[in-house]
Amino acid sequence: MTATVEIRQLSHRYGDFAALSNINLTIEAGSFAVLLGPSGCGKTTLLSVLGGFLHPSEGSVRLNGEDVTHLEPAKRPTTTMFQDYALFPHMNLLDNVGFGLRMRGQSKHDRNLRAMELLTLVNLESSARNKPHELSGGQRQRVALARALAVDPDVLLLDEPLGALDLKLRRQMQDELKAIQRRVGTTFIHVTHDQEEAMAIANNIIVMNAGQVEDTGSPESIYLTPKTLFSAAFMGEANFLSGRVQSTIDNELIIDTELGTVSIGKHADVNSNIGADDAVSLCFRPEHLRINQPANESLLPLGTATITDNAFFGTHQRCQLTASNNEHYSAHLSQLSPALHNTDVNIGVERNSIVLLRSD
Amino acid sequence: MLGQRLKSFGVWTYVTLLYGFIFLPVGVLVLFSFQDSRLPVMPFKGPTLKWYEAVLSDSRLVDSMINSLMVALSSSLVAVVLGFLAAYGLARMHLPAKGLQRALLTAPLTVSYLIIALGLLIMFNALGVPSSLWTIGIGHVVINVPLCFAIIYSQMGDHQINIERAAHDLGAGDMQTLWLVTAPMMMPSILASFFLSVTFSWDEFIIAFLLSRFDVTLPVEIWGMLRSGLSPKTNAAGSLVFLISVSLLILAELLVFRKLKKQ
Repeated sequence: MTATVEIRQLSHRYGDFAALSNINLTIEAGSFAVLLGPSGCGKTTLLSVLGGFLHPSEGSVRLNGEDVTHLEPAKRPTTTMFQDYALFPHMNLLDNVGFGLRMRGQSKHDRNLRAMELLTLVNLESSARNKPHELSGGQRQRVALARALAVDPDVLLLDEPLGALDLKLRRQMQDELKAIQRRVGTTFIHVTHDQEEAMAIANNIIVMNAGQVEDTGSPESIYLTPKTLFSAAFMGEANFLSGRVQSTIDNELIIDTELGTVSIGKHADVNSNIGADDAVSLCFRPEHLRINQPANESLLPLGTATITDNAFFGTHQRCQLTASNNEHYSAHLSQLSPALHNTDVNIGVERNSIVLLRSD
Repeated sequence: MLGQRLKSFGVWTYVTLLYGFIFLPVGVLVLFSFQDSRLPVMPFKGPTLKWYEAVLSDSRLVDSMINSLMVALSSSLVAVVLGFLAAYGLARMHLPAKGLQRALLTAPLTVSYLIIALGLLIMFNALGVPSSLWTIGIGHVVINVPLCFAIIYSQMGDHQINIERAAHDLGAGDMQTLWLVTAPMMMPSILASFFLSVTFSWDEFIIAFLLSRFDVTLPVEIWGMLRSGLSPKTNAAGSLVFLISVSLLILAELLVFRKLKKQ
């Protein structure tokens, strides 16, 4: 089963501190959504509200159109997978996974069958009679997932479930989570502060900061066309060049920047709200910064810069540059490009990769 | 070399004296319960089991032993249930003046049994409640609730909160969570406090003495025997009390404390 989650004008305060302010969000049924943000951004608070562990100060939560804002956790069609797994230490895996069904009055025979089915789904059928303390972290993780899915929830809430695992296991669990989500079709809402994890599993990312939603969209759209400076900086590495709009001519914005006057094409959807005299920031990714490339139509030249450092990252080389405005920029060069340490180079950016954002 | 030897000699002397000081009285008591003469004094003659036979064929002693056991088991059960609920409430619920309530609950640990017994005696008199095994039991609940509360409360960590939340999340009500998740999860400390309560109640004298009338517990009965002078029979009865206390503690160690340490 699955459900659409609608969050309307949701706010929550702890005393004077606004943990969530005016959140409006729709998460489509059957999607794998990720709440992404730094610690303290309110993502876990939002998850607690969705799970029913916290009653918001204002606003509403609807699942498939039904208002569940003040429904107890036990009564709503959501289950939570806790960060510390929260398995019942005195029960074996079968009883752990079958607990929700036991609470729903299913017979021991039926719930054991279903629990076994789910343990098979997470590849733990051979450990059904073991206690949680006999398992590794990754295995406990899977039991927690099986237990949460056993009651056939409409929405599964995952509270940083991969935080305690090592990198390799985390990658593996990300793939498994994604595969299982596709198979069961339940709406998954996953909280993390790790943008790589978000990109790996989500089909819908919600970037949060200081209790507000900064940006929502697919991993591609958030990475390539972030809607705010925060979103651009949080989702991967980004370079910023600040400036002020001088004028708009036809479909071009003329912008005075620290690295000269540039003109940027106006996009209807992205920067339509930017006009003359606005403070703006040109945002571009390191892989779109070009070094010593001949001038052409699609390249926006940004003068010269000095390479201060470079490091080999396997798939690419990461270069640190200091441009003529004394700002630092980073560029990703191809794997085998020669080390250009301490040399002066011409830099430029792919025009169509630049995202123009208001910086006030 | 010599310094080393002297040091180890000193350590061994100290250890021997320390344990001797603690266990010699008990050792002497047990030894002279096997005394084959009418007085439990040097020199030791025997051994014989006749005094144990005398104890077990003395119906008053056996009755008082059964009384003690009943009081110990039932008062401990009540104390554990009350202590557990208090610990759960203070650890999990939003309550006013938590610190004060916690202090009030554990405060009786510092009050002497004599004062508690006197207080209860005065209260029962005022209420017209006659002294009986019931009043002893109530007295033992009073002294053991703080102990049970303190042990169980100390083991109620925040890491269990999410486990209880998970139970709620999966559809369990408050009582179901308490019964199916919290209590089993806390079982090692619940059993630990139960066994300790039983041992405390089992050889408690002052409260049992002041709050009893016709039916008495074993320590009170032994005290009665002592009034007619020393006898190896008293030693045998005391040894039995000691034996049962030790068995309880060993049982508690095997069943509970090892598990607690593992966690």
